[in-house]
Amino acid sequence: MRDAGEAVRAAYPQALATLTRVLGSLDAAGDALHVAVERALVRWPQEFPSNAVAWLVATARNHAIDQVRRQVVHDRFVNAEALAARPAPSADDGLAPHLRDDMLRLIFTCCHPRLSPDSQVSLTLRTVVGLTVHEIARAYLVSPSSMERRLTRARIALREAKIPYEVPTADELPSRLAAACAVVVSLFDQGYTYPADADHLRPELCNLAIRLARLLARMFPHDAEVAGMLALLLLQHARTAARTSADGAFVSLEDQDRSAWDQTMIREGRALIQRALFRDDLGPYQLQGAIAATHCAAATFEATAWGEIATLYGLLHDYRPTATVALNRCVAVAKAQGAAAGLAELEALPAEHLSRLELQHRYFAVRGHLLEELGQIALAREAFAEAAALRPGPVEREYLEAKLRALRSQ
Amino acid sequence: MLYAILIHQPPGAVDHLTPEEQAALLADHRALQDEAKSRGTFVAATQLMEAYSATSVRRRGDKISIEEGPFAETKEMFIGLYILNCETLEEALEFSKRIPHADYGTIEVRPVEYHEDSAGPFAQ
Repeated sequence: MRDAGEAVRAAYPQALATLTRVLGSLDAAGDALHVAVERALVRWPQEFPSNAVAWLVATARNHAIDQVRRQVVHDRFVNAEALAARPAPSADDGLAPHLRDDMLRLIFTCCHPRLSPDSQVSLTLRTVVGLTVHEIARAYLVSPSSMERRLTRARIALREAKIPYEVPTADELPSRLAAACAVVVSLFDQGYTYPADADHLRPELCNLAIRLARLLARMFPHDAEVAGMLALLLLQHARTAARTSADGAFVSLEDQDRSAWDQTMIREGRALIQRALFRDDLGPYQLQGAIAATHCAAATFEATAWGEIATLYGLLHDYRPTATVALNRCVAVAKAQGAAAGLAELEALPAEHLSRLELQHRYFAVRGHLLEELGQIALAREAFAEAAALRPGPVEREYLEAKLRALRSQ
Repeated sequence: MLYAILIHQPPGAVDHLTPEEQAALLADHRALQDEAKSRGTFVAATQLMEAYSATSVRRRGDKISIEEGPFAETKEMFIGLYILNCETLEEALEFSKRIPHADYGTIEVRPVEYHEDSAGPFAQ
C-alpha cells in the first residue's frame, strides 16, 4: 500500500506550480491546495488516484471556484465563470505540457532578486521543494513559529514588490537563472559551512540544495553553468562524511580520510566537469567545480595537482575577484612552487582585498605558515599573533594559539 | 535472439523514494540480474547518468557541433538498458514486467540487430 502522505508530498510542488498559474497568485494557490491536501489525506488511503498531481489540481481548483462563487454574489460572479472557462488540466497525462513552465515560473518567482536572500531561500523550500514549515524550521534550527513569520514576511514582500508570476524573457534569462543558482548555492553553503555558533553541519540542507540543483539541471540541460553548479555541490557534499571526526570536530582537507568520500557523487560531478573543461565555455561555477574535482581526483593531499588548482583559481578570479579567491590562489601557488613563490604572491595582493576585515585573520595565518616554512620564525610568530588578535572563530583560535605555543618553544 | 530492454522514465521519477526504497529498487535489479545469469540469458546491464550529463555531437556536411545536453528534451528519458539472450519475445517481456522502473516509466523491448561482445571493463 502506498503512503498517502508521501504521495501528497511528491505531488505538492508540481500541483502548486500549476495552481499558481491557474488561479493567478501563489497565495490563492497555497490556500486552495491546503484544502485539497487535507481531502487527499482522507480519501487516498481508500482510493488512490491514477494521477496525484491532476487530482490535487482539480480538487483545489474546484474549491477555489466554489470560494469565489460563495463570496461574490453578483458583479464578480463573472470571475468565477471566467475561471471555470479556463481549460481544466486533463487528468490523464500528468499536466506534462504545462508542467515545465509552471515549475519554472514558481522557481523564478521565489528566486526573484528583488526579494531578500533569506526570503528567497525559505520561499523556495516551502513552495518549490514542498517542505512543511516544521521541516524548514528544523533544518534552520529555529522554532516553527519564527519560520512561519519569516515565510509570511516573504509572501508579503512578494505581493508588495508586485513580482509577476512568469518565466523571464530570453534576454533576462541568464541573469535570472544565475540568481536561482545563487539561491541553491546559498542554501547549500548554509548546510556546508562550519558554523561559528553551532557545533555541527546540516547535511539535510545540502541534500535539499542538490535536489534543487538537479531540478534546474533537468530543466536547463543545455546550460553549462547550471551543470557546473550541480557538479560543484556534488563534489563538495561527497566529502561531508570525512569533514567531521568521531568526536564532532572539524577535519581539514589535508587530514580527511579519503576512503570516506562518496564515490558515486564524485563520479557524477567529475563527468559534468570533464565535459565543461572540454567545451571550454567556462564560468565561475564550472571553475569552482573544476577545483573541487581536482581535489577529489587526488589519492592523497600531497598528490593534489596544485599547479592546476592555482591556474583554476587564477581563472576564477576573473569572474569572482574576491579576497577569498585571491588568498586560495596564493596557497595553491605555495603548494605548487614553494613557500617563497606563495609569499611573493601573497605580498602582491591588491590592497582592497586586505581591507576585508573578515578575511584578515586568514591572510595572516597563511602568511605565518609560509614564513614558518621558510624558517623565518620570528616573523611567523608575529603573523600568527596578528591572526589570533583578529577574533577568528573558536576552532581557528584554538588552532592559532597552539601554533603560537609551538613556535615560542623554537 | 538478443533483446535490448530499454528503460525510460521521467527525470526525477524516483526522487521521492526514501533511501530504503531506493536501496530496495536496486536490490530488485540485482535479483533480476542474478536470475538472468543463472538462466544463462544475461548479456549486459548498463545504467546511464542523468540526461543533463550528456554531450551531443552532430555532423552536418563538414561542420561538427558539440553541445551540452541530450539530443531532445522528452517527457521520459532513456536511463539504462539490459541485453538478454532469450528464446522468445515472451521471455524478454516476462523479464521486463518485473523491472521496478515499469512503475514509473516505460520499458521498451527491441530485438538486437548486431551485438559485439567486447569483454571490456563491464564484462562479468
